[in-house]
Amino acid sequence: MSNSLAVQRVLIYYDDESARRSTVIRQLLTNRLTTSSRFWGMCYELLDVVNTDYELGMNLERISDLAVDKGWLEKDSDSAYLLTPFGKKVRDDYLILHKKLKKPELFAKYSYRKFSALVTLCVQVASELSFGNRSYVPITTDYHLLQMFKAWYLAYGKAGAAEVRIDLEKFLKEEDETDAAVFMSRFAGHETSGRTKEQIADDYNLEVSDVVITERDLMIRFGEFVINEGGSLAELFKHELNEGLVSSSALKTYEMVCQGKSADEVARFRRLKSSTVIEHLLDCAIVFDEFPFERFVSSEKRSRIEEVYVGQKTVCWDFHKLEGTGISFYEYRLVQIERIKENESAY
Amino acid sequence: MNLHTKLLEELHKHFGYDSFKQGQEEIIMNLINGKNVLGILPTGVGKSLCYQLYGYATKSRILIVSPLISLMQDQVANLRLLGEKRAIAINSELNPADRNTVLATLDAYRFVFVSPEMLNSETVLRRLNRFHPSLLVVDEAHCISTWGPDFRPDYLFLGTVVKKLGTPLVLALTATATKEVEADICRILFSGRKIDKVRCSVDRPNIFLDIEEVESDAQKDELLIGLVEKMRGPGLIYFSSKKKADETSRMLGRKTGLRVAAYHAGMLFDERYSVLQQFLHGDLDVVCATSAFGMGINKPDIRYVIHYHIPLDLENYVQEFGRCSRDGKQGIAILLYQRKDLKLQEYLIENSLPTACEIDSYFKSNARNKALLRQEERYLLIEKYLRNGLSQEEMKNFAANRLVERKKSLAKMRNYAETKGCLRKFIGEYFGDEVLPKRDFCCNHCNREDSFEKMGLLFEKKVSKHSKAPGYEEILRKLFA
Repeated sequence: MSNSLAVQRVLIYYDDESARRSTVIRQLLTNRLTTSSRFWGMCYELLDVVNTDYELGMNLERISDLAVDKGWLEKDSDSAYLLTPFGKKVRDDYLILHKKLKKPELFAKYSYRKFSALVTLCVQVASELSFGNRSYVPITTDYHLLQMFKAWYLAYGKAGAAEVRIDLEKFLKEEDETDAAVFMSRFAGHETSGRTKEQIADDYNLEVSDVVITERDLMIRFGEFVINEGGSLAELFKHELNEGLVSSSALKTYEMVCQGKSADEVARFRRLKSSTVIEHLLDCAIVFDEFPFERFVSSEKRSRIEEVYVGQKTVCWDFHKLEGTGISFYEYRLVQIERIKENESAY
Repeated sequence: MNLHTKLLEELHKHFGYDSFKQGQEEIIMNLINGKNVLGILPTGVGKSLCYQLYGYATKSRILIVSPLISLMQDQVANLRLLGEKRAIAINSELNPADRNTVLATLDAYRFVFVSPEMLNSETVLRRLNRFHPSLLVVDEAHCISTWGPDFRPDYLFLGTVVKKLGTPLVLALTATATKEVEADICRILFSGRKIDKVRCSVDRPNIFLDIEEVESDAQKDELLIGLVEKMRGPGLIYFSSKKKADETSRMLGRKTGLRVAAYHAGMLFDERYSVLQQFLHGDLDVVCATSAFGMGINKPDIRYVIHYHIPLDLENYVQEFGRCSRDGKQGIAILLYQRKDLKLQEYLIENSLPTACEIDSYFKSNARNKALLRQEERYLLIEKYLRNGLSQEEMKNFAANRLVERKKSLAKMRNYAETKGCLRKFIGEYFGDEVLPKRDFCCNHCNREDSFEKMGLLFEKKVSKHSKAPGYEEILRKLFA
């Protein structure tokens, strides 16, 4: 990504009314989630950007500081950044002129990297097979992927491989023509080498960053399309699910809790530390629409908390004010989460 | 049927060739006669074919030790292209579960490539023993020698590995070996056993050698543009920096209208694949590459190789320009020499080896700090030394000696760049070959009047870069029958 475009692009993760911590945004973009980053991701309304821009995420602070130099962001002592009025204009112009991901939430659901490798391999093999050619260099050296594909091909054969073209045609018919061409340009196959993103940008007179976003966007949506189609190709793709916004372990905790178990019971049964179960509960409370808050915070404690923070914005609460009340951080946080979700906005 | 005829038949059957290149048949014959061999063959001669054909002719299993993952991947890929699917690479790219699967199914393979660090594992060695390789190949065997610039500590223990594998027949292969390196290979790998040496001159008579000295970056770029516009391609330009490879690729594409792409380890695998395939199929005029550009790649018609930065040593320089004109037609290798670039190479050398302070600091660190240190390549090297049994003091001495050796090699490269004498003779003398200057098309010191036109290297016509970009339906029609 060119530096100047990256500096514009970073602005879409910041807000002009309240400063946001770069650590949180970095963790969201690179999928290094913690309970804290999930909470603040929810407050920033950025839970749908999880895992969508690893490269930008890894360089977030550096790029954000460049935006400060340009007067587009202001930085406070807590390494939180606020969008300036000038920065807001630049951001809005960027969003008009450049590509966006249409379904960013899919990146938390699926492993983009594995999807991409799988689709690329499938297209190559299907292409070579359609010409009856078995001597070619596979586009990946990933042994695991090759074995997985081989097992699938043994089960579904040429008919399965033929679905690749059918699914591509169906999917691309509904897409913008240039986007579809950009997406297809990267694939290698029989006597087709594929194009690099710089070459594609040159071919279609686009910025390289827009080529990257278009390719990512269509790739993840094509993966979901194939899974929803439910054909033999879906059998191959559905292995590439991410853990999503919560870990599979947290999901198990949540299921048990929904069945009526207490936190202590879950900890004993699953042989986990209580602190681990509590983290699971917080993560699930953030991510899932249905959560039994009332089972984990008594009405007395809830009233006490609301009394202490009356008149204050929920995200501005300071836990230290509850010292000596016997209310745990975990209960305090659950109340925060419930209130933010009820009000649909943290600020 | 005599052996020579049989080998020619196998050569044609598996590789499509009608005759051997210099040194190949002699190596294969020696192996078939049960002799250990050290093969020193120049780049482009086809060293891999020696063991591959041996495997087919004797219907036996071959274990190949290779220092670079990318080289292994290229060689497995080349075998697949020939229709040989019984090839596999065992290296750190395999996760433990997949590695176990491969080790459990080794009998399904004929050609097994393995990185030297994998051989540190007793489990891997035990399994390879059951594989019963009839030939152990040590590729890039010069890596075994501390005299050479490319020394790798894991190679030191290959002599022991040979014994642990039941002392199979051994073939050591390299393209570049001075007399000292040759002696080291014989001592460490063959432990005084009788071996046959097949040594061919490093000289590539069909490559004109040229050095152009420049004073500034701007002058270098201007010269480069002039060269690529004038010369018939396809061409390869080597850089010591990924960033420079990218920048120059864009610059050349803009200024010359040629089809240019970059290739380096900072690119995604499938992008490198695309660039390589485009180059192999004649869809690119120039590739701007770092040394990551496939050692195992076989494109016979590369007409020129230009080095934008002075390489670290003559070994790498000869290997890299050796990719030029493997079809035997006239080619040219040009070094763009700017004294300032020596500083870059010195910096790279100094940063590639741990200092005494860094070694001490590593030993004082706790486990958590060591985990952080591992992000630096120099510290990974310390761990490698540790695995190979070196003590803290031995490591410091070793690293200090390596630094001296590498600086000597760079100094030799500098001497080449600044020599006023015959360039071909200089290289020959360095590798202990007797190479006489050629009468025609030798180097720009011996034949100042030789021009691209005389050498048949003048640019013919430009391929139009810009046709209308295809729509997705056209791409689908091209991809699928």
